[in-house]
Formats: sequence, structure tokens, C-alpha cells
Amino acid sequence: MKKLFAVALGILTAIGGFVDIGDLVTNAVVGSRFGLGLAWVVLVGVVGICVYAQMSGRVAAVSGRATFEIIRERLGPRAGLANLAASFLINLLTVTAEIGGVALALQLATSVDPMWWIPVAAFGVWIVIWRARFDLLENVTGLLGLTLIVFAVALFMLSPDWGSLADQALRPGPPADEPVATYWFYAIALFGAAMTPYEVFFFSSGAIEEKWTEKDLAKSRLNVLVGFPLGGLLSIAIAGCAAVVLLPASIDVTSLSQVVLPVAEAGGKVALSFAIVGILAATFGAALETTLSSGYTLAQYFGWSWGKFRRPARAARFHLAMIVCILVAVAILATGVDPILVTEYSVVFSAVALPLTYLPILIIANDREYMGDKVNGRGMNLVGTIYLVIILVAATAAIPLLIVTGAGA
Amino acid sequence: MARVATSVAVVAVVALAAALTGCASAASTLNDATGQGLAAVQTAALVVEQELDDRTFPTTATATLGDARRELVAASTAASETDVTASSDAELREAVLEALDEGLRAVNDARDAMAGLGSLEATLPSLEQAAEQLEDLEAQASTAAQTAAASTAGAGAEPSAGAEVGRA
Amino acid sequence: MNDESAQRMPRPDPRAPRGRVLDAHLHLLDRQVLDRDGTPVTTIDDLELDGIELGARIEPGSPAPSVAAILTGPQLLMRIFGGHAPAARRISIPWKLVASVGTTVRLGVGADSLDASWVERWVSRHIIGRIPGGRHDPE
Repeated sequence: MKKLFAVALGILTAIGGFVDIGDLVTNAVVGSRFGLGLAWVVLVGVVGICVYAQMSGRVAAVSGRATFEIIRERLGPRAGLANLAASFLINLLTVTAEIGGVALALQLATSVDPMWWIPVAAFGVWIVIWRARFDLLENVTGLLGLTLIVFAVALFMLSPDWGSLADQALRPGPPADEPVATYWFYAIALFGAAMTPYEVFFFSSGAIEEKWTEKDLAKSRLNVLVGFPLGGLLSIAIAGCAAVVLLPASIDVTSLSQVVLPVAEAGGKVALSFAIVGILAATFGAALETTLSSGYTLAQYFGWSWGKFRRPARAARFHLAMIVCILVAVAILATGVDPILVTEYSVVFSAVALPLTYLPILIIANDREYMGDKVNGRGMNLVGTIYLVIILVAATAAIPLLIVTGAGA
Repeated sequence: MARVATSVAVVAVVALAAALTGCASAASTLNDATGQGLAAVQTAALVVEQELDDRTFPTTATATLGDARRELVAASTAASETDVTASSDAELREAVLEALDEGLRAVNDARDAMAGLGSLEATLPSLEQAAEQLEDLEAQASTAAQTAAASTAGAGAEPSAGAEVGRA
Repeated sequence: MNDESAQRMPRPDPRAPRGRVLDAHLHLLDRQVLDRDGTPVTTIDDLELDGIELGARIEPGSPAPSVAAILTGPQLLMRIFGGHAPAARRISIPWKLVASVGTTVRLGVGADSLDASWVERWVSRHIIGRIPGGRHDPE
């Protein structure tokens, strides 16, 4: 019974943990402009994150080493540092977006200007990282994030024309009134949102925080392989809601308040309150994960003592680095920049940085010194390599498309 | 052979330049601004309807109207900063600015009503009217933008073709 | 000069080193250093070698150098950007403190007894330890 509960808990947290501000905003924007015409990208991204999250969890459990330690050992200090700089900056951008997302969600609940909520959200993130146990913070935000299922319920309650939705999803391609470049720009943004690199750092470091051994691998595989695809379905439901309510009214999504409009339309106040709680939990949980990830990457590159299982004074530089990250995020948000805009840039730059994270993982998963006989099988390497090609194409095309389309305007 | 390659390159560069300037033509900027304004007014109309049906929280409705107002102000700024070269574009700009202003006033009225000043129901017709106007203008601007882009591309292609003939 | 080849080849040469033979690049540089209790101390940013002169030509057949110390801190920047620091500025961990070498390098002493962990101790004592809750286990 207890075992079943643990499995269920793991899957549920994986679903709730999959969606963050990047997925919320990008899916709603895409749904309101292209309908379900880009749903296939979410599917491609979900398979990719399953493959690589699982691989990095396996590396961590078998070798007892987290991703960034090995990245430096294998790439050397110079390439490792370049990789660290890129990953860290994008992660910092994501921390900023998530904290801004928490503030925006609180604004929906209270109508108080998000500027007032930013310090509150940042303090909340810090105090939880400072005091709460790792499994506690992961499970609570993951479970509360599950209330986002209301987007799927809302989609059914809107009783849409399923035929035309299926038609949009099955016949991908840019609609007549949108340029081809814009379509591909959003495809890459969606891909970056689904495959955000911090999830891999978090997953591999979390495996060490929770002291995984090879025995835990089966459980983790189940969590990932069931939880992430269901999280992906949730993303598609968000896009579907926008496609049904916002697209016909020619409302291009530019704010979080528009993301929840279809939910209120379908289910009134009850549904809306579920959506707001879900967004709050999802963004808060992701703010915790990204903040921890910035600490993890820095500490692992420089060999500092790290981990939530140590008391803060025993991982001092790790905690100091996270405090500085949160302060920088608050400073960026205090300039009055729109958190939605930060989010949109963070998912695109995530796409640019994807190869930096995923290539080393693939290499290490094949290294017998670390993995013994638990190296990748041939099938896993084939899938991993195919994804690496997709990732490389997306990363190369991201910046040119960003410029040509004026960030998707 | 080299000459063909050069002229192909020239045509490509001119076409690219035309495409880039075409993107930034007055009509297309106005088209974007109208679209942005239309989305904001439609959002406001939707949330006002939800509030009247008691399907949303007043706090959420107020936040949504605030976001809509910010978008309308941004659209107005973009439209008023558009440089025009043709009188038709100038007329279009005036009409767009007027419609955006009307939408902004309606959204402001709705926000006031949420704060207890005036009736919320009364703002719905004016929001719908502003949306209709913006929709018409968007169609107009879109056609104008397409014509502008086509004429720029045509004007760009002609001289290079002429040069090619001259050299041959 | 990795482990395997060292085992396979007989070593008739009297100048051959008596300790374990390691490929510094492959087995030491950029490895994580853990203390007696498994707490991370640093990464091996560079090594101090005995038996060779800096800049001198190494004659073929000359005896292999031995590792004198693990270098850390500013040494990382030297390795990335070039140049070298005066010996007095180096932060080093004497090689005699190393207990074992695997995918990580284990020391036989606690982290707190090392010069190399002074930054960690300083941050802990003056910043993190002073924030309420900093010295308690998470709940």
C-alpha cells in the first residue's frame, strides 16, 4: 500500500512539475494564434525530455555524480566554463520569469499590482529553499500543480468542435494569415519550453539529494514515462482552451490574465480558482527548481559543498549563490519589465542552450568508467542521437528566427 | 557565368531588402497595432461578460482589464509613432488612432465600473462597437500592407532586371 | 601511461616511480575532491608536480614526475586564461593527504582542517551562519 502510494505520488508530482510559466504562456500564445497546429511539437518535446531526464537520472544513480560535475570532468575547464556561463544565465532568466509568474498569479487572485508581490514571492522562494526538506518542497508544489488539470476539464466543458481541433492537430503547418517564419519560431519556443535544461540539472541533482541507488531507477523511470507525457497532455489542453475561446475572438495572448479566460468561460469561479491555485503552485515550484538548479550548476562546476540534505551552514557558498540569484531576479523584475516577455525570451534561449546540456549527458551515459555495464543500450543511443540532431537544428535556427520574426510579433 | 551569379545575388539582396522594408511599412505597423488593440478590446469584452454572469472574480476581472488597458496604450503609442508617406496611410493612421482611443475609453469605463463608478453593463456595447471598428480597420490595414509589400518588391526587382538587360 | 598499461608492462627500469602511475589529465584534473566524510571540498583545478622544471625540456626516458599537491582557487583562472601565480598565492592540498583516487579523489582528513576550504568557512561563519535557521537541519 505504502509502495503504491509512493509510485502514485511520484507520478503525480511529475505531472504537476512538468508545467511551468514557460509552458503556460507559450502554449496559450500558440493556441490563440495557431490553434492546435503546433501540438505535435509538444509531443516531440515530451519524448525528448523523457529520454534525457531518464538518462541523467540513471547517470546520477549509477555513478553517484551530478550532471555538471561530469560536464566539467569531460569537457575540461574551458568548455565547461563556457557551458556553465550559458546554462547559468538562461537559468537565471528562467528564475526571473518564474518569480514574475508567481507575482502575476497573485495579482489575478488579489488584483494588487504584481510589483508589490515580487518581493513577497522572492522571499517565499528563499524561505522554502532555506528551511524545507527536499521531498517536501517537491511533493507539495507538484500535488498542488495538479489542479492545472482544470484546463483539460475546461476543454471538455467548452464542448468544442472536436473534429476541427483534430484537423488542426493532424494537419500541421502555418495558417494562411501567419508567416512561415513565425510558425517555426513558435515551434522552437514550444520545444524549448518543453525541454528546458533546468529540468535535467534538477532531476540529476535531485537523484543525489534523495540518495538514489540503482534500485530506485525503475521507480524514476515510471515517474518520468507516465508523469511527463501526462504533463504534456496538460500543455496541449492549455493550447486547446486558447484555440477554442481566444482564437475565434482574435485575442493573441500577451498576459497571464488571458490564459485563464477560457477556464472561467467554461467553469466559472470554481474552475477559475483551481486554475489560479494551479498556476501559483506550478510557477512557485518551478521557481524553487530553477533557483536550486542555479546553485547546483555553480557548486558542481567549482566543487563546492552542495545539497538540501546538508544544513545551510555546511553548504554555505551554495546557499549564498542562490540568495544572490534570487536578488538578481528581483532586481530585473523591479525594472518593470513584463514577466511574460522575460518568459518568452527564456524559452527561446533555452532552445539555444539545449545542446550544451544534452550532448554531455549522452556522452557520459556511454562512458564505462562512470556507468560500468549500465551504459546506454543501442536503442537508447539511437533515440538520443536523433534528438540531438533535432536539438542542434532548433538551437541553430532559434536566433535567426528570433530576429527575422521580431520575436514572433 | 560570373555575371549571372552577380545578378542573382543582386536580385536576392534587393528582394531581401524589400522584404525587410516591406515588414516595416506604415500599413503593416498599423496592421499590427490594430491587431494588438483588437485583442485587448475583445479580452475586455469577454471578461466584462464573465463578470456580469458572475463567472469570474472581481479581482481577476480588474487585473484583466488593467492588462487590456496597458496593451491598448502600447498599441496607440505604436500607431501614433508611425511615419507615413502616403495620404491614404495618414488617413488610416487617424482612423486607427480614433478607434484605439474609443476602445481605451471603453476599457477605462469598465475599470471604473469595477471600482463602483457607473454601470458595467453599459460598457459592453461600447466595447463591442470598438471591437467592430478595429476589426474593419485591421482588414483595411492588412490589404494596404499587402499592396505596399507587393509594390516595394516590384519596384526593387525592376531596376536590377534593367541592369541585367543593359549589360547583356 | 594509464593503469592498464602500467600493469601489463614489466618495469625493469630502476627509475620507474614507486607509487601508482596516473594519467594526470584523465584521472586527476577537474575531478571532485571529497573529504573524509564525503563532503565536497573543491575540484582539482591544477596540480603541482615534483621532478620537472617549469619550461625545461623533458628528455625522453627521464623519470616520471610525482604529484606534490592539488592546487585550487585562482589556479583555475590560470589554467583557463594562461599565466601563472606566484607560489605564495597558491592554495594547495598536499598530496600526502589523499587517501584514494577513483572517479573522485578522497582525502583522509576533514574539510575544515584545510586551507583550501577557507572561503567556504568564511561564507559560512560570516554570512550563512548568521541568518536565522542557517545552522539547523531543514524541516
